[in-house]
Formats: sequence, structure tokens, C-alpha cells
Amino acid sequence: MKYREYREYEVKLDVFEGPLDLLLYLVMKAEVDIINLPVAQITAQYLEYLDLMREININIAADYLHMAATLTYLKARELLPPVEGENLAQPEEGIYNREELIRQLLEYQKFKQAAGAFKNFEAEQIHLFKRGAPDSIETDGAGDDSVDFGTLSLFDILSAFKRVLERAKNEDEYRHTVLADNVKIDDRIEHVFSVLTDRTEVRFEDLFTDDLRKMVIVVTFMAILELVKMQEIVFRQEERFGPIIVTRRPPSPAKEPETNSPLDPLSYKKERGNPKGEVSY
Amino acid sequence: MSDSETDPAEQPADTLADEEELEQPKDAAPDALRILESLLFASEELLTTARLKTILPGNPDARAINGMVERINCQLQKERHPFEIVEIGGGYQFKTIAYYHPWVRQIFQEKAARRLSIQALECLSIISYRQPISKAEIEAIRGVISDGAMKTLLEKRLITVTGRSEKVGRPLLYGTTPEFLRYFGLNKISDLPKIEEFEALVRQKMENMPLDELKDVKEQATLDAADEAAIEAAASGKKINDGKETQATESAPARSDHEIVEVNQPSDSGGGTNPDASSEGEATFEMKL
Repeated sequence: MKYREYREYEVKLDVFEGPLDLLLYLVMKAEVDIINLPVAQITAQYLEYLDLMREININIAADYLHMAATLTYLKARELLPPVEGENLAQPEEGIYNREELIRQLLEYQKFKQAAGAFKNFEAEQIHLFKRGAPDSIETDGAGDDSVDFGTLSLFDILSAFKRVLERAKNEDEYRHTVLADNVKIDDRIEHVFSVLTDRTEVRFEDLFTDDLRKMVIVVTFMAILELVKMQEIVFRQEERFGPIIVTRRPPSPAKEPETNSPLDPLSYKKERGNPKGEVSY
Repeated sequence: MSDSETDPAEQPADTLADEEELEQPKDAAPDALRILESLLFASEELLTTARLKTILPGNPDARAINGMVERINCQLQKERHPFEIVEIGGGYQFKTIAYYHPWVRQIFQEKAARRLSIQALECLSIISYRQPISKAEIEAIRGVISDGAMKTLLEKRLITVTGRSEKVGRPLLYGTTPEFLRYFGLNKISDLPKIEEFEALVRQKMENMPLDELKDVKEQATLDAADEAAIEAAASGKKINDGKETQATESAPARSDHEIVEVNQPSDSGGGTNPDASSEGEATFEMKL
């Protein structure tokens, strides 16, 4: 495929999300319940996202491909008339019907929620310091290829990228070919910076408006990913699945104490002479 | 007010006349509280009830020690000390009060990277509710390879190998550690929110499911209640198959599939020793927490 020409612009990205994460994302985006999983529709979208990831040379784990095969199988089953005695040939493991996929999604979501609760416990504990040596917990081993999208997920970013591509398809310019040499990722990084200099914050799609050729769009997206990796820019979303706002990352401010509101009001309810002032409830 | 010179009720300053609302165990010597405080202050790691019992005068039992801790905390609070004694991971330890975090944390460099990744948290949540569990089972739930997260959790000693499964390949089984409890500020595994709470969300969505599908999923939900019961039973050192404890064990195929043969004993953190539940019969194992 001719787009392999710009393989040298591979953006190495650690993708921690797995196929179940993508499925849950798509289900939420479609605003349906997992129970009512529309297999055909979700399968189509799932494959689109795989294509996108390939487009920007993200390393796709085999698990994604396995799920793609599973979904395609389920979709085919839905389309074909049921066969007598078909149910006798169920494999022991794996997802062999829609209900099994639903069950797996529900179970995974349950543990995701539990993990969220754990995260809160962790946060609470980190705030309470124990007598003696502090916990010697090292950094999380996040590699150099890890990217912090803030509260967004990789799929949110891919969705935005997808929208940009779809809108651009309507323009003639989209189909203009361009030699791979002429699209340098450094140039696109410069472009992103210049847009952000004029305006402190922009919408994600505004970063692509200057040049709608497909290859340029793709390289621009890679440039944006690089900038997030370098911690030069940050993403923000006012609401789930809403437009993405991009801003320059401000230099890290000197840490100041947080607001002085006590976290444990009961201890101080009757305190007098509290240096931080009266506490009101 | 009363004349302190002649007031027969007056006590020396270091006794607890003003703690009237709390019971005073008869066997607690007046300065046992101070001894307890000094032990907790001096120790860099948490001290278990068992350990404290051997050192404190009068060898108070767990309840008595707990009472002493409460009284100390009462005094600390009264005198507006910015720390308290908490019970975490089966032992006691001093901890600063949350209110002072904004200042205290400045002497420690708190990096966001100190926290666990969401992948590690997911693995951990699965392990804590489903232990003992193999890596393959964890990966089946998450749908992804979990090498990195498992490695991190092992390195931080939040999980450990607790045995081997009898299944094909004899995979290693994992469970949580006392460090896990400490890390999340828990005292025992049953302090975790019930898995049913997270299931409630799941059940909500099941309302519209056709009946026979619903049956399958409900079985799974019961399984988790059984898992939990099994974990509780094991945590208190009893055999899983003790029918009196958990009637659900019979119908917990996911658990009793693991006939554990070798049991690696994680290093004893000094807590009370659980009776040895040797690996006889099906699905009996000892899980030290």
C-alpha cells in the first residue's frame, strides 16, 4: 500500500488499552447497553478503528486481531440462518456466541469499576503519611513510549482523527498526492506550535485546516502524538465524546499547598484558634 | 472549683481521670498506654496485635489493645496532635491526619508516577476478588496480555505466588499480600467493597435480558458471592471445603477447579499464624494474608 512510504514517521506508542476497552468504548459511544450489543454495527466500527491504528503505524497487539476475528464470526452467525444441532459444536473456550461476548464485557466492566474504586483508596492512602520511612514505591515503570492523554483515552483521540479524515474526504485537496519527502513531521510540529501561539487553545480539528491532503493529515496527527509524548501539549474534553481542546502544556508550577479546607472536619469542629480560620458547614 | 491540694479525687497528671466515658480495663497499668505509644512511635513498620501482646505489661489481648489505642487516639485528638494511630494490614501504626497533607507531602517528592497504572489496578482488582487465580485467567477477563502489570505488582509485593493449579500446564496462582492491604488502607480482605456493589451496575443492565440468558449470567453473579465466601473462609485459615462455613462452595466450580498441590508460603509478616491447612482433598489451600 502506497502509504507505507512514510513508515519512517512511525510514532511509537505504548497501547495499554485492549480490545475489550475498545468494545466498551464503542458501546458507550453508541449509547446502547452492553446487553443490547449490536454486533454488526460494533464490528464495523471496531474494524474501522483497527484500520486507523494501522494508518498511523500504531503497534496492534494480537489480541485486537483475535477479537476482530471473533466479532466477524459472530456477525456472520447473525446473518446466516441457524443450523439444526449447531449448538452441539461449541468450543470449550473463547467467545462462541453473542451472549458469551456480552458476559465477558459485563464482567470486565465490573472489574474496571472495582479498579476505579481501588484507585480512590490508593489516592486516599498516598495522602496519609506513615511514621517512618516513606513507602519506597518506585515509578510505575512507564516506558518512554507511554503517552498521557489526560482524562481521554487513545480511542477518543482516534475518534477525533477519524472525524477529521471524514470531513476532509469531501474536499478535492484530500486526494492530491504528495511525495513522502515533502511532508516532514518537524514541519507539522512547527505548524501545530504556530497555531497554538496565535490562540492559547484550539479545537483538535483546527490543527488540520491548513492542508487537507490525506498524507499531510496523517503526518500532522503523528506530529500531535509526538508533542503529547514530549509533554508539550495537553488534551481536554469538556464532556465525554465532545470536542477535544488542545493547549500548550504550561511549565510545571511550584507546588503550593492545596486549599486549606480540612479534610477531616470532625476533628476540628470545636477547635478554637484554628490558624486556618473558622470552619463552616 | 475544687481545691487541688486537698481534693481526694485528684489524680496525678499522667493518669486518665478525665477519660470517664471510656471503660478502663482492670488489667491495664497506668503507663501501659505510654509504653504502647512509644512502641508505635519507635517502630518503622506496623506492629501486629500479637507482637504488642508479648511486649506490653499484662499481655493484653487484641480487644484490650484496641481499647488502649482508642484511648490514645482520644488524647491525641484532644491535644490537637496532627497524627493518630490507625489499624491497617493487621497491625497498628502512626499516621498523619489528612488535614496536614498539603504541608507534609512537600517533604516527600510526590510524583504522579508513584501511583499504579490502570492496567495494574485492573489486574489487582481481579486478583483480590478471585484469588487464587492464574495469569491466564486474569488475561482472559481483561482480554489483553498482562505481563507488565503483573511484573509491577509482584515487584511492589502487592501480589505473590500462592501455589500452583492442577490444571494442564500447572500454572502459577496469585493472591494478594499484607502489603496490598496496607497500600490501600485496608485491615483485612473483607474490608474491600463487596463485589456485589459493582455487580449491581451489571444487574441493572440485565433487567431487559430474556430469561434463559439471564439464568446464565445470574449463575456467574452467584459465583462471585461464592468466590468471596471462599476467600473469607481461606483468609481465616479454615479449609474451603468446610461445609459449615460456606454452603456455596459446592457450586463454585471456578474455585474448586484449582486443586492446589504445592503451596508456597509467603514470608510471614509477623502476624498470627494460621493453622496449617494442608493440601489434601479438593480445593483446600492456605492463604496467608
